[in-house]
Amino acid sequence: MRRVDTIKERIPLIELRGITKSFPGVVANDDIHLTLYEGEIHALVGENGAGKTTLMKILYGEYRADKGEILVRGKPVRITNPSVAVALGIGMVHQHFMLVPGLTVLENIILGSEPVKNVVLDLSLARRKIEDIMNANAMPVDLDAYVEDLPVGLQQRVEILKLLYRGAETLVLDEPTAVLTPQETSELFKTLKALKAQGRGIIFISHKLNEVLEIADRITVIRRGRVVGEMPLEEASKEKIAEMMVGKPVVLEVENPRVEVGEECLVLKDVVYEEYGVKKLDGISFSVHAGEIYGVAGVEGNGQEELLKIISGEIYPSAGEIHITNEVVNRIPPLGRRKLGVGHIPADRQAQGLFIDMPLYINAIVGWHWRQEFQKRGILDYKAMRSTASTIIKNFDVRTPSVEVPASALSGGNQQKFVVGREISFDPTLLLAAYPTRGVDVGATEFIYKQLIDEKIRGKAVLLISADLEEILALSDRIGVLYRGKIIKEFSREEATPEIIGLYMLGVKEE
Amino acid sequence: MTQEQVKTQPKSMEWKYRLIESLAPVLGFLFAMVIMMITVQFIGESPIKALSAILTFSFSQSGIAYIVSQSIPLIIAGEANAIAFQAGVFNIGVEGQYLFGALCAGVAGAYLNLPTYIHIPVVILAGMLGGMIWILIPALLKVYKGVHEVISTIMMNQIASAVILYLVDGPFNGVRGAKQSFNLRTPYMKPTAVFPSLHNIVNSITGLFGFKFPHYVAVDLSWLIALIVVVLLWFLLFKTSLGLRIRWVGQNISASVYAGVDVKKTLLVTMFISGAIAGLVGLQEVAYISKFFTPNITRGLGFTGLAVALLARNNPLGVILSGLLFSFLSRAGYGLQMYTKVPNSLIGIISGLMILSVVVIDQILRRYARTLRRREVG
Repeated sequence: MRRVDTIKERIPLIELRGITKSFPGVVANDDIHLTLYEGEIHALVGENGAGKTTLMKILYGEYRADKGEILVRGKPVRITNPSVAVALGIGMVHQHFMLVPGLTVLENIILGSEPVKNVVLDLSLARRKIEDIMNANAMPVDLDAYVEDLPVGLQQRVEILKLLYRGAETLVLDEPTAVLTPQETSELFKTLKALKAQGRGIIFISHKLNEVLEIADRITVIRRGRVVGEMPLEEASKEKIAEMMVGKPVVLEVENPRVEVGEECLVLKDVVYEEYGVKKLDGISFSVHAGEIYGVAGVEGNGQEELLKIISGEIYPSAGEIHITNEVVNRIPPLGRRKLGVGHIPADRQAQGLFIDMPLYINAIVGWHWRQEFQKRGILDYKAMRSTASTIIKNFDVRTPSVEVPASALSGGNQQKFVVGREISFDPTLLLAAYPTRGVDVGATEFIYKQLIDEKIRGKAVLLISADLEEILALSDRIGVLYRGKIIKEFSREEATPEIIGLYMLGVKEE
Repeated sequence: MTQEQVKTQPKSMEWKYRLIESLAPVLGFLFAMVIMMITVQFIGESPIKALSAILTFSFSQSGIAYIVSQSIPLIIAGEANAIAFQAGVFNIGVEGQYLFGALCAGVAGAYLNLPTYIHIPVVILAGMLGGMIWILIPALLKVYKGVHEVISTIMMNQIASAVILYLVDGPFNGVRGAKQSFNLRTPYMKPTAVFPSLHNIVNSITGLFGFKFPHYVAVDLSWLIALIVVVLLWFLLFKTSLGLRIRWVGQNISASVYAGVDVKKTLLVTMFISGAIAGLVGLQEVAYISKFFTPNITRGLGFTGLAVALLARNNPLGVILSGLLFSFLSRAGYGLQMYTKVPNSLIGIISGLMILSVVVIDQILRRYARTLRRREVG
């Protein structure tokens, strides 16, 4: 406690006051306060979509806040772009590294602030300076190695060196351990502790609780764009953070009756997916029956993306078998699977589900364009497309002036209703629903819930993937918890409580 | 309730936004002209005099005839680029593809003995095939190895220059013993392969409006070819399922994958179509004007074609207008050079400025229209 008190007397390195930022249809950050002191590691915890990355992008000048102010060492500043942030001593390591693979480590580090002597690049000066930094922090890298040849852990080290070379006092690390092996993670933590000892401040974004408890001095939990709690390490526990992250379930008023289940529409048998030697899916087995909603709960990054792609056919399994309506589909591409009756509400409606600059009547047939009613001998039937779009708009309450407007003219919620409506309209046997209400307001959420439940009542199989535990609990008949590429536990709706599922999601409990 | 909204909210607003979005080329052109006039003033020439020089030189009878005739290869090159752009492919290689295509057409016309109703189609097909051969390697490299087409097609352009020189100097030399390289050419095409003139037909139509194309301006089968290319491409892109898939791939690859489009196959098909059209660019010159292929054939049409397509925002019908505009600009350049002390190269600057301003204004107008739409949706 004493340590915290002494820190508080000092002027914070960074102070965020009342930061608010909204995007069309969503409030990403809502009145967020955050302080960071010298010599402190402050962990920012929350589920994906909670608003952590948006907040950090505001601090780094990539976004502008609608409201609120930023203070650096007590002085209000306006960070209009990343170079202003760098000049103020703020550095950021993004989830996806910003390195040039074809250049050497040295070149990457100095890129953008090259030392110059009489108009000529002074590489030896830079080299000496970087070597000093590497020695002082015990983080050696071969300066002449090409970045593309380095393992991920070392690439990340190069990113950090880049920040130190520019004199960063505040380091923001956005999910730095997501790409690292356990050994690399412990190396990183050593480095971070060394940097902290020099008086630098570090904001550490993560949703891996073990790591947060290992490295952080203070922890702030964000949920749905708001700060739900801030505590020093001494007061933190896994259970407490988990509860804050997931939240107390607000039961949405949706009636979700059980119906008699039919045959298995989707079966996964020991499905493995390996990428660059990493098992993203590690022996997944489960099945979804007609007339049920199977919910996959889990913290994002545990294999959800790969699970979805492997079922929709964008990637093929390295081992195991996938059956859709009694057919083995291991090597069948997305189109073939859609022809078997797979509807797919994609994880990202703007990047995947819609052609944002094209009119709604074209977006109405995305994924279903191959159907007879839309083409005769390869010639498009615009009349049929327009009438399909009108039907979707009517049945799914999409607010739009007409079917002629581009998808980008719609608000996020209406875009999502349109995508959900499209995928349901074509009467799929199996419906994949990924984050079906992400970034959607409460009204639209309830509407989409009803649609998914109706699909189930009509005897369809629905696979629901979501990071929102409330959603999983409100909709699913059975729940599987995905952790590190495996379904580690299955629950029936009756056995499931948010507390117990939360513990499995975070790997606190393992079977 | 929503159905009522659909009914009561008039569709008429949408055409207004579309109009706003389509103003970009016009505004870009006007902006570029204003800048040109200011520049002319700085050079010390009267803008009025420059303008009248352009107008009298371009809009005389022969001026108009030349502008239309010389727009034909530009339009075809514009279409070759437009179809590629629609799929998100930068086919910088139209230049090399039309050089090689023109050589193939010239060779097919000179060495084969066929009746004319077969020979002419064979010459046309040879041109298309040549263009397709020249895009084959960049297409395969792009789709299967991820090599960016800009790099590979630029290299293929260089190779094309060298290869046609070698082939015309070697196996297909039509002037054995000629030492001067500027005389280098393939043998004359057989009369059965030469494109027929369409003067009579075209003049019988334009005659109704009191306009005749003089005999010294090329009015030939390539006009019909250009027309067919425009119509087919428009039909392909906007009326067929394949065209829709091409536009999808050009807009958003990950959404295309999601929709179940075979992206690789679509890219390959698009690039072959682009190459085939590119192979037609040089036919007017080879099969009608000079009746042989020479390495001294007009160069740079492929690059101008990029600009033509950009200005038309890759719309096959718009390419006609922008092809005519670029043809007019080159004519205007000669007019300036002849009647004023403004250098011809100013026109090059104006063309570039025009494209730049169209691209920028286009983005601004699109955003503006998007805001208006959002406001309407509420």
